[in-house]
Amino acid sequence: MMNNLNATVLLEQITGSLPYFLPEIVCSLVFIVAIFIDLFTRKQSRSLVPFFVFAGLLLALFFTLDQFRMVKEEIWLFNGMIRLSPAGIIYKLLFLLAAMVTHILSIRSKAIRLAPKGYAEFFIMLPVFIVGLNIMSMSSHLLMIFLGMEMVSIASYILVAYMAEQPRSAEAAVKYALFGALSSAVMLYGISLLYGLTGTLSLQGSTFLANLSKAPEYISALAILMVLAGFLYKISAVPFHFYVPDVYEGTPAPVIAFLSTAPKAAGFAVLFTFIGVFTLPMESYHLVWPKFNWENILVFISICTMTLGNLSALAQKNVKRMMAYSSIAHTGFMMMPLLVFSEMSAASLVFYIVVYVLMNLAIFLLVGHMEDAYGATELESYKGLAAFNPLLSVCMVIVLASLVGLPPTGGFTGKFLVFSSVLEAYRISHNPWLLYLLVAAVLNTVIALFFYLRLPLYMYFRKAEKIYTSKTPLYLLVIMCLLVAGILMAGVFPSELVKWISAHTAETAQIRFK
Amino acid sequence: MSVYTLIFYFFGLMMLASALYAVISTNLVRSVFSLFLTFFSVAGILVFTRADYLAISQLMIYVGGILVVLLFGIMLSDKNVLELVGRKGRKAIAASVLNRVLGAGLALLLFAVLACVFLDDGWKSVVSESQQAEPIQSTGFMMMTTYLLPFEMISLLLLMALIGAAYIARKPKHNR
Amino acid sequence: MSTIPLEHFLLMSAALFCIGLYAVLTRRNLVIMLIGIELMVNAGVINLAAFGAFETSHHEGQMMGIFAIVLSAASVAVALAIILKVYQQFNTIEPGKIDTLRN
Repeated sequence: MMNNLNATVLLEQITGSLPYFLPEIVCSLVFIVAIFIDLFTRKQSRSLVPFFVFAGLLLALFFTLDQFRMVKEEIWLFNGMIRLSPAGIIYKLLFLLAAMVTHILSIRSKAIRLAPKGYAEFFIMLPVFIVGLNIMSMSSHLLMIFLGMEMVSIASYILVAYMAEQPRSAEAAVKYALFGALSSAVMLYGISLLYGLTGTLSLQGSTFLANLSKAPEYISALAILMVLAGFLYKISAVPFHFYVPDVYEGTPAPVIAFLSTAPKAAGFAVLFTFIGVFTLPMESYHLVWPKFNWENILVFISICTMTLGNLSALAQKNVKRMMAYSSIAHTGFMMMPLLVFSEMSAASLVFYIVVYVLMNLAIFLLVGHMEDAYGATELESYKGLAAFNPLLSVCMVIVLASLVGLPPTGGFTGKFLVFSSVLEAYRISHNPWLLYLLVAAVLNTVIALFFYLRLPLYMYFRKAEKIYTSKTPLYLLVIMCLLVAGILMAGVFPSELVKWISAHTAETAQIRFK
Repeated sequence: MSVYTLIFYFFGLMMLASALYAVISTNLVRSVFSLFLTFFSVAGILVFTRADYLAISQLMIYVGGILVVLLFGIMLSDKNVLELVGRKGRKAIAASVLNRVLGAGLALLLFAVLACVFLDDGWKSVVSESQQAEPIQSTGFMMMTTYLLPFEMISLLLLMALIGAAYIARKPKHNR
Repeated sequence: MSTIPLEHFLLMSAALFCIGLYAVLTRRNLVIMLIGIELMVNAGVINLAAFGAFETSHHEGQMMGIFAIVLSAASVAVALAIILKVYQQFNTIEPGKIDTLRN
């Protein structure tokens, strides 16, 4: 049974896959070498590890960009464990972008630089975090999905617990870790049920779906709901959201800039893969849910998530908490294209995620700077800050407008694309739930206007109580301007970006809708 | 009923009883020691699924690793943690009773649902009746071929978790 | 050698899962909650192994079980380190008393 021929074929598959796995290999090596650098140079130089890690991330960026040239269509690597698609490379770029911005911010951040136990470990975590995110977004096997999600979760616990010498951080970390472990235990049980129903863990091919169709409906429903618990936790959707505000409040801003963008984007990538398995390829965009139509459940969760996120944000006094609820609300919006699953919605999801990553990096950069420079954490303490820092305040207004979804920003284009893909699906399927979803989304955009614009209101139209003298560091201005430029470009000239994205996502969708 | 099945049900009974005790005991050390029995019985049950390697891993990792870590964690914290139920007012006791009743109700409800699911005949369409033994060679073979990527990735993950846990648990130096 | 029906494995794992869930829901103590989560993971592993034994083709269940055990070991290590820190800050490990972050 273990003939040598079989082994040769399998091993050739693995060696053949290695060239497509270079970014991850680079990150793993950087991780391991960085540990040794930290061990041997801890006494002499504290800045060597961050520098080395950044160089490693740049190298990984180079190899990831190179993959656009190598990968023109979906390829299956490592015996069907992971699937590299052109759309997946966009996700990988986003992770690296988020990590590099976080890296630069963290070097300067007071909270991390002055950590009582040293900061080398923080930077050592970044490359291995990237490996986990890449695995998660590429996985096409339930084992790899679970492994990638655990890798990302454990890395997140460590980053959140980095400041655990302070009570608030310790509390945030313990809530995060226990709840995360619970949701992954539930997910494991769901995976075991799915395995029992289908006899396979691989999502490649049609065996999975064919066997699942034979199973009784309510059993597959239970199994799918349990697996969904894990995904919903990762993208922080209702009812798995309540840890989010606590974690955001108790954690330094640069860390949150990373945790609120990259793992969420990876969560959407993996959820997209997972939902794709359950939908049959059809001529039209119309979806077929062969067993147990959970489309409506997802619509319901999406409506709840955006409404609850926005309404709770209205009541917040603490800016970081407010942004936590804002990111929950955005999860609700990003779930919309997932439910539709058409060629257009695949592109609009990626577009929205790209813009979301830019917006959230920018807003947490600003919030972090305000906290470091002016000690401003509550909404009240933002009074009159615009007078001391005109340029950053303008940037803040633009980013907030984009978060609301006002033109001419990327947020507007993203919302527009998402809404129209849902509308298109409604025209074809006439599912009333999709209409409710659209109405809820439009209403929520209006609610969002009120709480986001409170921030500029305080900054511009209230008198400051103190006089601050603080210089904005140059690196911060440069990153900020780049991010804002990206947001504005996505809003003013969206067609190029949309064309580029749909060229990469189309291939994935075409297989499905042939 | 043969000895074979008798041993299986003995393990099953021991697993459930010790798990229940671990969960409701008022003394943390006792519940961790009771957990030792639970993990051991789980390994015993895994032997009956002919997953020998899995059973051995269960013994090595859970009984040998996780339990020791749990015990260390408890020993490192203070003595008074071990006493779970401190002195409480009448209100707090009432709240905790209500909490337990609710928790037990939900857990029983889920058990009823799962029992319905598992007693359904739906599984028969998927699974075959013949059990096959899994030779340990083929486990190793798969680990080095089909599952090579997750195998390598998990080693990375363990290194990360090790460094992270050591960093978090470390006490800060006061002379900084 | 007689065989044990699949349902008996599954019912046992379901009971174990529910005991674990009870421990998490009652929230008496962080360590007990962690123990409950581990019981739930164990229930999942029993399920995987049982299905793997009855499924003839690849025995994927057993492999998944091995990985699940190792993964949960890693997360227990990190979670316990965090619980230790919480104990040092708050002097208690009762979740109800650890509550400074609020609206």
